[in-house]
Amino acid sequence: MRPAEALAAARERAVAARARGAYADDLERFRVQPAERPGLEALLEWAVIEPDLEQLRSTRRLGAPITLAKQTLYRALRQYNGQVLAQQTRFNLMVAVHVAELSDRVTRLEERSGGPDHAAR
Amino acid sequence: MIVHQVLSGAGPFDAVTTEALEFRRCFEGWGWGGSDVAVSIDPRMGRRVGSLDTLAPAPEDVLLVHYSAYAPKVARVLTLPNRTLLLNHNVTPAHWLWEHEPAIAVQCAVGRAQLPEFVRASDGVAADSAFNAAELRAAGAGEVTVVPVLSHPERLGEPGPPDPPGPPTVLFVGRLMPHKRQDAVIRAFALYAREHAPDARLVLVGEPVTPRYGEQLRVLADAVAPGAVTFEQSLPAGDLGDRFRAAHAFLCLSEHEGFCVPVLEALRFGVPVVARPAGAVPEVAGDAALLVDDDDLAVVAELLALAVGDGELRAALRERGAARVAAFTPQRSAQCLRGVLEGLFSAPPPDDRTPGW
Repeated sequence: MRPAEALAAARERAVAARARGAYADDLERFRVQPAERPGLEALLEWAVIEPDLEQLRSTRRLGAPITLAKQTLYRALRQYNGQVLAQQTRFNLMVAVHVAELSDRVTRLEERSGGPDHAAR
Repeated sequence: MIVHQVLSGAGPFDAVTTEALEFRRCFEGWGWGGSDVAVSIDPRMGRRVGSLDTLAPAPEDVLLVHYSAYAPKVARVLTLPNRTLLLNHNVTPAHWLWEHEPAIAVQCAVGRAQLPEFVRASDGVAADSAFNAAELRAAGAGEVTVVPVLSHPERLGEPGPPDPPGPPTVLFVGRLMPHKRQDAVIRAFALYAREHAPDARLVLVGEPVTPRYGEQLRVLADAVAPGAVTFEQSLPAGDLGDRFRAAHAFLCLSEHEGFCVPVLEALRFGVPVVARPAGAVPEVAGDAALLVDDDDLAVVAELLALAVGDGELRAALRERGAARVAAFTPQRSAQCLRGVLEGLFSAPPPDDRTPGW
């Protein structure tokens, strides 16, 4: 087969394979979706700061002792870090909830005025 | 001539860092001096790249700014009185990263937004592909020189036999990142293996953007193709060459590529390439790859089956691949680079071009 014919042949074969029951499970549920504009649900989820302790590590070749030292230091400062994370999370959540409320208000106002196009005029 | 290279970040397996180090070898060969500095440096780099804080150029020195992500200190370099060449390696669109690595997503979002300012504040602009050059023009650049990525694929060793022994092996090389779509590669491979080659193997080479994202891909691989997918990272050149020699097909479903050196490497090894025509992939692969933009991964799986099993097709792709590789010689890239830097050096000193941030 010549390269120029390959894609058309692959499409035909995929159709034929589906007709005989192949590719019934296309595994679409595992697809990674880009967050074009994060929705409110994502904002609320991200508002809660949860650092992953496993990522607190050394990238050096023999970095295990450094990783251990970093994670020990983190645990030793847990009380202080907890305060910082709690305050930041509180702020994030309040802002996210506020944005959600404003979004709802805008939606209600647009509906009352006959939609966004009507409101713009 | 003295040329200092400025990078936002430097790491041992980072494509931009690798190219900057290749540039330095060229500069040394031409008798040029200078230093290579970065804002953030992976400890594994040792002393090959210095801290940006150590940059102290003389007024006549040329600065080569590698633009691949936002870093606040890099912007300050443009306020220096030196002639500056901006080389655009492309910044990944942030929407691929918000979910997985918000800190890098912020850098990417700001990096893309500030490209016009960097263009305005530079004395010359270049890009490593026509795709990246178009982004520079969209950001307000006039004349853009294309300097194809300077890579030495021969460092990976010589190509192997056209049809390697062992079970069908599919390969992809690239950092494990959402926009590189290793998730789609795994799913397409799983469909191919189920329908055509139950003993097939998939090898994914690349460092995960985060351990968590790497783990997500492993979980996916275990779910859809248990035991058939191998993840590898930090491979020395010889071992990476072995992976290409053992591969029957190279599958790239990346949604955004500023160049994609591994596609070129696969062509050099005579490995048939199946790829999504995204970013610079079509201009790098030319007619030597099977390009597929179908969302239906069953089509990709069927194309993979043809690329692995059709001898006539494999031979034709190998022949075209060799011609494609010949168009991207390191000598040609080095010549382009030298031309643009010498042109900049001989140009009159820059006038006031203080960036607007």
